[in-house]
Amino acid sequence: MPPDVPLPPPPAPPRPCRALTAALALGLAASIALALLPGPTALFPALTDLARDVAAHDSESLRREHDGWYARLLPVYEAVAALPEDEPLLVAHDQVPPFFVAARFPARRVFAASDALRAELDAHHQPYHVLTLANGDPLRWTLLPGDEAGR
Amino acid sequence: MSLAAAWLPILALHAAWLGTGLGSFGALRGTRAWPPLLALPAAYFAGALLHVLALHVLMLTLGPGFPTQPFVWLLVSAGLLVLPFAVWRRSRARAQDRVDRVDRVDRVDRVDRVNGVNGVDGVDGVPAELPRRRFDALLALLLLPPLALIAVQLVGLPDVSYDSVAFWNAKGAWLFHGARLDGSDGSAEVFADPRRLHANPDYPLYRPMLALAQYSVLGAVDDHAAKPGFLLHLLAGLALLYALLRDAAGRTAALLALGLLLWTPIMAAASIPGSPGTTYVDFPLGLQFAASLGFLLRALRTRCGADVGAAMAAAASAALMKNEGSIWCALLVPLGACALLLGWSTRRTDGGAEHAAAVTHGHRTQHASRALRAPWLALLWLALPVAVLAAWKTLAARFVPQIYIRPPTPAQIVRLPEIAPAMAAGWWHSLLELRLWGVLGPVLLTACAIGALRHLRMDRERLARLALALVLLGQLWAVLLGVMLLEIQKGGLDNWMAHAWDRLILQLVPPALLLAVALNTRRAAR
Repeated sequence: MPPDVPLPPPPAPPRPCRALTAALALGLAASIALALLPGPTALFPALTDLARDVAAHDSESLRREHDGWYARLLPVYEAVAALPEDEPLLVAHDQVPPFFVAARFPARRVFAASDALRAELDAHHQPYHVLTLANGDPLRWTLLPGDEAGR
Repeated sequence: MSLAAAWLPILALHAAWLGTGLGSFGALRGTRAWPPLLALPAAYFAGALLHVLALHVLMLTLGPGFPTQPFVWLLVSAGLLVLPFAVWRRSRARAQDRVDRVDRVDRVDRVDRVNGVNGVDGVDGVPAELPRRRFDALLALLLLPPLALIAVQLVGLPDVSYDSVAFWNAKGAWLFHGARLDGSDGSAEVFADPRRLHANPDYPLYRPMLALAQYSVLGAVDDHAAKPGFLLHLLAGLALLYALLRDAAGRTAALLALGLLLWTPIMAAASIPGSPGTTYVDFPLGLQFAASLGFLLRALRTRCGADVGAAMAAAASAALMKNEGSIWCALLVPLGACALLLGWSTRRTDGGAEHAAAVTHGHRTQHASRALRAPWLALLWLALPVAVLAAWKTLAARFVPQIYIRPPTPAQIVRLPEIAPAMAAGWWHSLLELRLWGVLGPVLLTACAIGALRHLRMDRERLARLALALVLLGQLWAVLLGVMLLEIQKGGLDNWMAHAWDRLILQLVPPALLLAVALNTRRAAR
């Protein structure tokens, strides 16, 4: 055993500044008050909305909405799978990344639709398909041959 | 898979992360001094980081189409096997430490009682512990409503937010379906072709890897069933934040600070993208920012290498979460090194680290003398986030065709002052928006400013803490600069302010809260 040495003093306790503690306490009280009082920060409407949203979802509808992005694409996936692999697929919607389809079919050529690209494909007489929203409805998708899809 | 049935595999995965962290990083001797509330979440995140890194390696080495699930289960099995052994080992070590300090406990208790450590505050042996504990218990109860609200939102509502689904879950699903990062299956082409990608192709893959791991244990791409995992991840981050706040300023201040954060309106508003009730990555990223700062602040006091390691592991996790994490690492590593060099080169006056090490570890004479020295070798931990960041950037360079913000030209730099006023006004207006931030903005800004002013003395320990505060300030400036460059290069400042700005602020809230508390707390010298 090495020779004994005096034990160092115990750890000094943290001493938060009183003004900090007071500010935190007042901030917390104000936040709770904001949550309880009516207004844009009120918590109870949020709770009510949440309870309504959760209660409105039975398991089946919840799953349908939840799986939304994938579930909406499932019929499209099936249709895309039936397409010849060498036909490019153009996805024609700004808010839906072609990534969704590219992720499912890594070997397939999936592009964001653009007039330039379509003109290029048309010029080469290359058959292609366009994935688009049916009547702009984000819940419904449709897959059209390139010559039928409007620009 | 139903939500109820999903809990078991999800719990197994997250327990495996804990086991992996406890069995590897948690085995470091310095972590034995950590209280369980600090050690467990820190080990959990270390384990998650190790799994994420392992998955990156697997993605690079496995052939295309090779199933990922067996390897994820292998990692999970290893973590679960290690977990009980690691818990037993840690318990035994701490029990041994308790035996070692039996001869000192009377003295420690006596001193603590006088100085009010651990909630004991009294004079002449009369404890004032009970009222304090009751007050703290009341504060803890106040945390429950917002936590419950966040939990219900996170688990009970559909994950239909755009970034969560389009950026993170889709990439996780893609990796789950057999895409690889080596380009052998055309995945590099998918990454590299900007026409096939949405924005942000250069975002790192920590969050998709979390999704991949959860899909793998669930056996299917199921966002809904995976959501309990994101709740566990969030709760671990909040526990770590609380533990670091408590370490910095004591239990009462930590509970008050966490309460202030959780009762902020944005925290309970799942309708706002980026709030913790969604599976966006911004708030978890902010928690990693806070963890890296908190452990470095702790390391300044304890001079313990494990604290530096934990800080750098958090920084590495942040680097793999989002591009903002890369900026954080680039600021934290040099400024953290400066802080440690400054802080450790001073003669100790409070004796906190020495005592902690001496009473926690056996062989008090060895530890008392060892703790007096600064563990300079611990600075090697600074290489961890650098290595992770370099590896990721090298990998990303193979398949990311462009970065979001291009290096500014001199003409663009000249234009920055034109945009700065609108930028500053927008930032200020956003921060003071009651609907989102309640009273959090003014409280944090004031506390951070006062705390920084208190540290403006030519005192190495204060300057060391101030250097860490500069990391946050630098990150804020980098974000402001980035948005201004986006306005110059792509336009649409209003769009950025409307859709991304709140999330950028949310990333900085946890480290700002920690700094506001730590910079206004002192440890009385003995």
